[in-house]
Amino acid sequence: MAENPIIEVRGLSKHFEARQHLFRKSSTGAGVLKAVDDVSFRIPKGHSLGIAGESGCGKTTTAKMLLKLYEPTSGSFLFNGKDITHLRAKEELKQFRKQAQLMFQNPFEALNPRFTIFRSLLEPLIVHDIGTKEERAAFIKQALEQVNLIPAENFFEKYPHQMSGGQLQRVVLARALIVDPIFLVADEPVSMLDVSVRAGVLNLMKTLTERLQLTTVYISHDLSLISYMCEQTAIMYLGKVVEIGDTMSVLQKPKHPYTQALLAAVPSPDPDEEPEEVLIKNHVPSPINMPNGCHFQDRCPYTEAICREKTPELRQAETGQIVACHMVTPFFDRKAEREEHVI
Amino acid sequence: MSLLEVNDLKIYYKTSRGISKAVDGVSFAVDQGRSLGLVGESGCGKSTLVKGIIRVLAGNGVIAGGSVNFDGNDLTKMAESHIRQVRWKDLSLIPQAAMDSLNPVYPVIDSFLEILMLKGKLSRADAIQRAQELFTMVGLDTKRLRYYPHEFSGGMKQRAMIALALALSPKLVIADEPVTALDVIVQNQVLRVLKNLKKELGLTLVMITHDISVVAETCDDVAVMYAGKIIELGPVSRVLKHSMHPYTMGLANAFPNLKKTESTLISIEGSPPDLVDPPKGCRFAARCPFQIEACAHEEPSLVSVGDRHFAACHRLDEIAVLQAKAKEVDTWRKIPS
Amino acid sequence: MNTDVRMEQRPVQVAYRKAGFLAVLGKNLAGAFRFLKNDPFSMTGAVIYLFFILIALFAPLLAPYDPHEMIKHNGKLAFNQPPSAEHWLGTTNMGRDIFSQLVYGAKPAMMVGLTAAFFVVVVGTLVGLFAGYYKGRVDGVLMRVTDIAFGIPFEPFVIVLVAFLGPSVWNIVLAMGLLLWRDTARVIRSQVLTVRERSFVEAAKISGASDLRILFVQVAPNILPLSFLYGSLAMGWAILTEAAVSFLGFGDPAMMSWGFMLNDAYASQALSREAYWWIIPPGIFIMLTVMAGFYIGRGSEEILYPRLKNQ
Repeated sequence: MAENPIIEVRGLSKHFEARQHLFRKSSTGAGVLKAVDDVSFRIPKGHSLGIAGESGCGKTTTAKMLLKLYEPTSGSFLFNGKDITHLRAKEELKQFRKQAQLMFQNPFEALNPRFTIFRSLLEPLIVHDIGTKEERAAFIKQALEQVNLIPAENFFEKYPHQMSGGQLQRVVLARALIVDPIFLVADEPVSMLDVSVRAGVLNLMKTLTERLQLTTVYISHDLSLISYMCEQTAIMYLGKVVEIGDTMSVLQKPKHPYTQALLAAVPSPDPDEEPEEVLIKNHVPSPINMPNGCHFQDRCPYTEAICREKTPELRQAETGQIVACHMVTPFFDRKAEREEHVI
Repeated sequence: MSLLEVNDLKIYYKTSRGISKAVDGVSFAVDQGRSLGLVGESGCGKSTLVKGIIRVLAGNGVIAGGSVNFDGNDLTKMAESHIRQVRWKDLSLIPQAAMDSLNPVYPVIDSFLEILMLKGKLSRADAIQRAQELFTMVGLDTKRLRYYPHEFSGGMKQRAMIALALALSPKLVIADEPVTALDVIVQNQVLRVLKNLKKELGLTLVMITHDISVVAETCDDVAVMYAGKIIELGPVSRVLKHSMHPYTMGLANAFPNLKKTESTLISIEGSPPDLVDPPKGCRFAARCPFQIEACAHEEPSLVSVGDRHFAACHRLDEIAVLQAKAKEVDTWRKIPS
Repeated sequence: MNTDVRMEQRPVQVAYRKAGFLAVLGKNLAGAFRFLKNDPFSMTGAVIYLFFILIALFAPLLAPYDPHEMIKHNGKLAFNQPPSAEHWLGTTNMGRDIFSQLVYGAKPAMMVGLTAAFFVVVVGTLVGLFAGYYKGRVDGVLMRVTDIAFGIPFEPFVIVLVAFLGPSVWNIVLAMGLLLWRDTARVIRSQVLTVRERSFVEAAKISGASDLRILFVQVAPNILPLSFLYGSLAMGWAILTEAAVSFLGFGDPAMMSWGFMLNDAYASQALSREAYWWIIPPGIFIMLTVMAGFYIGRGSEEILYPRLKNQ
């Protein structure tokens, strides 16, 4: 890669003390919840990474660390070539806040209900001392036009409850972009929106991030959304990245048994398509005090002795992506092998 | 005769701004052993419709007309005391918020015993046995009957709710967004349970959802609702693959498909009309790229387009042209207002 | 857009920033007024308060006599007179005009009520805001102080304090200010705890706003209606307390208050003489002011859950 990546995380971890409640001591015992455990990736400028996984897999915690809302327990975080794992100076953090923005899941919650749209967009400009009064009004108008809320003046005096979900999500995007960030995290940006307006918001984000050369991270449980929006995809399971690489490879030729299960479970909008069988069993185990070895061992259809002893390392598969599974070796197609077993 | 027959049902809400016509003249039928998916966006009236059928509308909602024939009786005219007997026994509901539907202070088995002994008139021993059967049926360990709801995961709770809904072998089960809050793998498991039950017990199912893929995978028929009306109705493969209504075509464009990564998603601009003061003509007209003069004045009625497939659109005769045009991005870009 | 240009801070901007905050406050007050207009009960409460405030302000113009004056007709003390054209509500056993006393009594009631309400709103809101927003140690300390305030019985505390510091209306206000903020602080805190978890607060954080800015610009406007509500409830409480304390004889002797009137009436056996015109009017006035507070309080649900109204 010629250019420095905008985002580079190495061995990023976030552990929580599981014993937080006085009365819950007995049921779980003192334990450590490894919400995010040894996660590494890099995103070059202008690229997008999708992080997918089920609830509790650590994708949101990862996002919060990328936005410095959580301090990592260990590991390092390089932003635009600069190590910002531990920012002490207030000014530095403020500078970072200007460059990294978040698009929220629920547009009805993301805007202060007692602020007009104009006031909501004005707030970041005030905080960062951008522009004079006239310039600010111009910036706000421009920001709203950028997200296709036209004519912008019609929205200035509106309150959030007077607008639809799709419009609000555009305002949220406008607010994120008004400070001219270089990095944007979108946490389930359309899951609260109706299907017919989702596409509009997604297409808008796609165009704008391309035009502004934004580096983006999409957090979603929806693999079809990630396949539509992202060049790179990471699949997380219980705090670990189990598979990461080009979206095309990860989602079209998945190698990790968990990724395969996730993909098989996605319902298809084509009624004539035979649903794929999901091979994994059991439920997601408690993330507190995980056993040795692979986190996926109890649900995996291919578990062998080594999976219970050693944590699998990330290795490159022949299809290009990086996979954390002992059973993935080049030219090894587990599905084919399983069918042989069945016969 | 169909098990459930809804005829020209109208359900209105009294609001501070006037009367909101949440469901306005809806008709459909579900035959014994089939499953119908009710699809639509938030506020289209799908939940209201179902609440109206089982008569659990909110205080300001009234059935303003039409009939609901279920198993030979008109539910809209049934006395409250009578309908209470029908609910659960013949007609049961899997609620949307399964998480909150089990009382947290009792073990799960108590919820089963209450229904089975009170409504099913079973003895305690029989009821326990039946509860165990039901748990096995939905793939849950019978040991878990003694657990409290908070010891269940989301998927397990949803399965327990399905088991509870099936407790008295109802003729019809209505599921309100049964998998919305669940992760994909769990969603897949719950849908599989529903599908198997349908096959094994010959269950008749009405399922509300906003997710076309869920319908595609679990239902035989689908009814697409928009602004209080059914605009297209028919077998799933016909409606989703040969859509006859521009709205259904638009929905198909808006859905990302893992298998078709190249295609661009297209949204339907605008938002649904205000149901307090709905437009005179077609309710989709303002957002429809194929709108013509007639759409603004005259409301299209739901007409047969062959093979148990119905659609409500003024331009059904030129449908092949519209279907081709609907796939193009530019069609949906500029809407005549 | 080119926003990399960092502008130097100019006085214009500072003024603008202040205007921004005032605008928010102004909108909130406007919102509170709009709410009053729509709710007949709250409106009634507000009108009652306004009525008494006006009486308090214009008491010297409205009252025909000095409330302490012993009125003599033809050199003879006009005592224990029933209502008449000259004395609308009759006279006391010392020949004082009851109507004038009633009118003058509005003044201490409103003074006590408004100042107590002010204390309650300011102290309670600040304590609640800081405790709820910062959580942890700040919350622990502030809430333990609140617990102590809750542990002190209200009326005995007022009486003891007034007994120590002397019978002055301001000491009654002080006593109430020291204790009455406790309910407000608790309620505001719990409200802040929910508001701070909403994503617009996180959004403000991500935009780089400082904690204090988030607290006063983002969170405060969302709980201010609740503070005003508790202020109006406290007003009723304070007036009732002042009346009770005066009735028990710890009131400010220099000031004519409704509680003092009742005390006076009780002490001079107005009850056994069936002098209803002396007892009932101050009773009704006390009741009205307390009721006004609760009428405004009726609107609390709609302030807290604005969406309920639309459904």
